[in-house]
Amino acid sequence: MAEVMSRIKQVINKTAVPSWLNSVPHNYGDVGAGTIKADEWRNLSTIFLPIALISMWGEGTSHPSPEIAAKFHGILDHTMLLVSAVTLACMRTVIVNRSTAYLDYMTRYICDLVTIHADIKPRPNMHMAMHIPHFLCLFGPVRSWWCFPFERLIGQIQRLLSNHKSGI
Amino acid sequence: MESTLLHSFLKAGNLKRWLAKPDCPAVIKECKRLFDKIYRPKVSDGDVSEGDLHVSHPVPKNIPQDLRPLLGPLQHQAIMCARLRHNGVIYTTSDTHTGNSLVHFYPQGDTSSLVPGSIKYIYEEHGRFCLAVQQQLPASEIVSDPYTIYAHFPAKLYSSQLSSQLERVDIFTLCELETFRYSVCCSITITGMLSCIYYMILFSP
Repeated sequence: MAEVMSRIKQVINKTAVPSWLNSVPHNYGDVGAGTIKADEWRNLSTIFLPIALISMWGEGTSHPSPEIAAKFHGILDHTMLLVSAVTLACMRTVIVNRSTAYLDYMTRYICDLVTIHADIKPRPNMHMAMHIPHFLCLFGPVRSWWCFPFERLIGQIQRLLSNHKSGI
Repeated sequence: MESTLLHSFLKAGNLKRWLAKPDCPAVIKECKRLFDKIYRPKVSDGDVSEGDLHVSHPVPKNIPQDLRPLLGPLQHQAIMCARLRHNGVIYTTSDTHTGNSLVHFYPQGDTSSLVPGSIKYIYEEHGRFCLAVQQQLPASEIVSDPYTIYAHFPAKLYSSQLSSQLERVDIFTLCELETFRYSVCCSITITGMLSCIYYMILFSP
């Protein structure tokens, strides 16, 4: 686990990304790093995490035994189902193929979760994630209706100077 | 709280629509200018119109030796800059900011293949800004690419070496093809297209 966290941190620190990308704290995972925000989670899970995991467990990597290799490869393939689903869901253009592919990835991810991670129980988020293809068809790309504009507004309101008295 | 936020969001949307209309009073537009000064983020990403260029510190400089083949032997000086803003996205030379210098482009204008590269120079030619880009060389054939099996993760292995030849890329054909790059070791690099870019690639003619 420590080795995985170390690789993820290494990838976060060494990847060259454009300045507009809201990157993840360089000390991600440390006690002092604090909690990361939703947009940072998205970037972590769609850029840094796959790079780190594929470089450790993907094709061409070496492991102490074939069983361990198969186990890590299984975890990687399962994680990549979620990565692929999130990547597709966040695209700026919606086409039917992408919506179908998202549903396929997400269904396989949720079905395999119990097998791969026996200690994790299903969460309501997983159910909600299955509704996203329907919303994509109804409302278009998620960028038109996701909650980041509201999050920004909350941030602006929080930064406004006040005297801690409501309505003044 | 959600209803308050939604209400504020709708009000803001209506106000923006009003400001965009020609019959909006000048005094309201003046208020917008003042509010923008106070609240607008330092780097705006939404209000730069198509093809609008913002250049910082344009100064004519001697043309570097490796850039001469692109500009011709008769020209000795050109306006060169370290950064360029186009469509709200800031592009820089690799010396200024590595991350902002990484782009995907069509080599020799061939729209069938898209390759990653790094901007080495930004220069003016016939009143337009162009990029001199070094192409990221392909990875050795003996190295297998573990990223290709994941069809919807847009990353690929390349050599960490850049081509010594510069290629001229028009800023208007480049658009927003931005990239990330991670060096695995001294010879291998992973480059990938950031999600907002990926769609453009799929739909480019």
